[in-house]
Amino acid sequence: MITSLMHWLDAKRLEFSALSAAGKAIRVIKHASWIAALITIVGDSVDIWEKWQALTVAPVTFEAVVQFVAANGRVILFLAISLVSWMIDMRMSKSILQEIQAHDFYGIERFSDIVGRLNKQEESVDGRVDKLDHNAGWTHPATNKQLILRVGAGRPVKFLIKEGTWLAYDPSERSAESRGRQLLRFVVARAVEARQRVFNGRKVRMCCDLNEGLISGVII
Amino acid sequence: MMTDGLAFQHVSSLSDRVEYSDGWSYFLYCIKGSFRLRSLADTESSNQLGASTLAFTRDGYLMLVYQTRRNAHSGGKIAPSGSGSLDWEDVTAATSGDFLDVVRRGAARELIEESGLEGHRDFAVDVVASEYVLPYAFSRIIRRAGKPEFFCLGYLPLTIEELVRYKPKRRELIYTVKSFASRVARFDRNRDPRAELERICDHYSQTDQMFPIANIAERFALSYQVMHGLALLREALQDKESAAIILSFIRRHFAIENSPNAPG
Repeated sequence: MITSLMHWLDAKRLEFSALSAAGKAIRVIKHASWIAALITIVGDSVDIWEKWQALTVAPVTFEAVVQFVAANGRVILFLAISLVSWMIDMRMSKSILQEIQAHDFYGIERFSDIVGRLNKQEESVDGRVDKLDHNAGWTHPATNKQLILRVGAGRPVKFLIKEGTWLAYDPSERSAESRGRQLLRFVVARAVEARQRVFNGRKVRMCCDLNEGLISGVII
Repeated sequence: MMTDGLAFQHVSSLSDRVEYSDGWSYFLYCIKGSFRLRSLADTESSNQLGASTLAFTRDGYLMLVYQTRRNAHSGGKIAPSGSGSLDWEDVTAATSGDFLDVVRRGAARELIEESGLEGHRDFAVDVVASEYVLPYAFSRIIRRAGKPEFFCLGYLPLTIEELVRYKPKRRELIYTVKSFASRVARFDRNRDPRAELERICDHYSQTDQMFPIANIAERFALSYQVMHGLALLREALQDKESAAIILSFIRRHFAIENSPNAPG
């Protein structure tokens, strides 16, 4: 539960860092209203349900609606702000995507050409790049053999963990022209537009080649 | 997220044409027209460590899964029995300090999650990692900025019928919907295990062999991880020493006697 909450907060922090000042302000209001609404719902859940039933069963009059809205202002405010916040997110994403453009100009022919040239170079050092449909993967048969022999013999490969967290974008970089910041804005905007979740997955970064580790027995 | 997803994409500002990413120079370098992959120590990519497992059931089926379109990288494709990026918890939980244990643990966790075995007391991550997962190859995915990926062979001590009764948790169902297992390519323990593995690799390498009806086969594509995983497994079987370790793993789990008269 606490881990999930921490992950959620981490995701929100990441998303928040890519927002404009207006986006940040509306996000703060949204979450404040969300907390207020949650308190109201927990405190008055029976009451709200009864009022809602009364509203839907009885003939709907303007006065009854006004009374319902007045009695459940915080919940309705939360819903309204959530809607506005979502619209702002979508609009902001659209504006960023109109401002920054990514295009895959490495079509399949150009990609194949790069893979072909990459493979030629890798073959000179006993590696190779396998072309697989629209993708390709580098591999090194001698490294694979070393790997499986180590696994088979139960010989460990020790590893060292570097200090700190690796980030593609330095959050302390405030400059509007910062390349990392622009890329982060773009990626978050694209994810929001595609209705994907933005999250920091606390993944593992490998920062040493495997063959070095298999030979020396230590991965750094 | 960012560095993987933007490989081979040119990102620039539309108004003043400032280039934010050329899509390749942060993980490749080019000298006189020749490309080389940057060392993992030298890239600006996230180098998210991944693991993919091709797992057999007790009754010899190789289980693959269909990933939904919500899956960022293999959406709408047939993926390995378990695949994904390692979590930081996989590192902290591997108390042995062995990097290969971290890989096995990550592969086991993904396999358990995608098979719906999460929370099952007989399939704790530690047990599956140490008993049922064998790393056999390593690659770097070019379309994902040279992301490192381990390939593992796996075994689940359940029949396919028992396995399909387990449903992945709801959050996992966002990404994984169906399991595939081909009756034709079932591992037969009475035959030569090496030849059987090779036959299965060949069978699963083509969707038209997996689905005999042409218009169904056309609808499904294999993910990179399935294609490369099968090709590298087949390659490992060609090497005598590597094959001995793989076949020992297979014999142990399928309870095939390793006598001089035994096949393989």
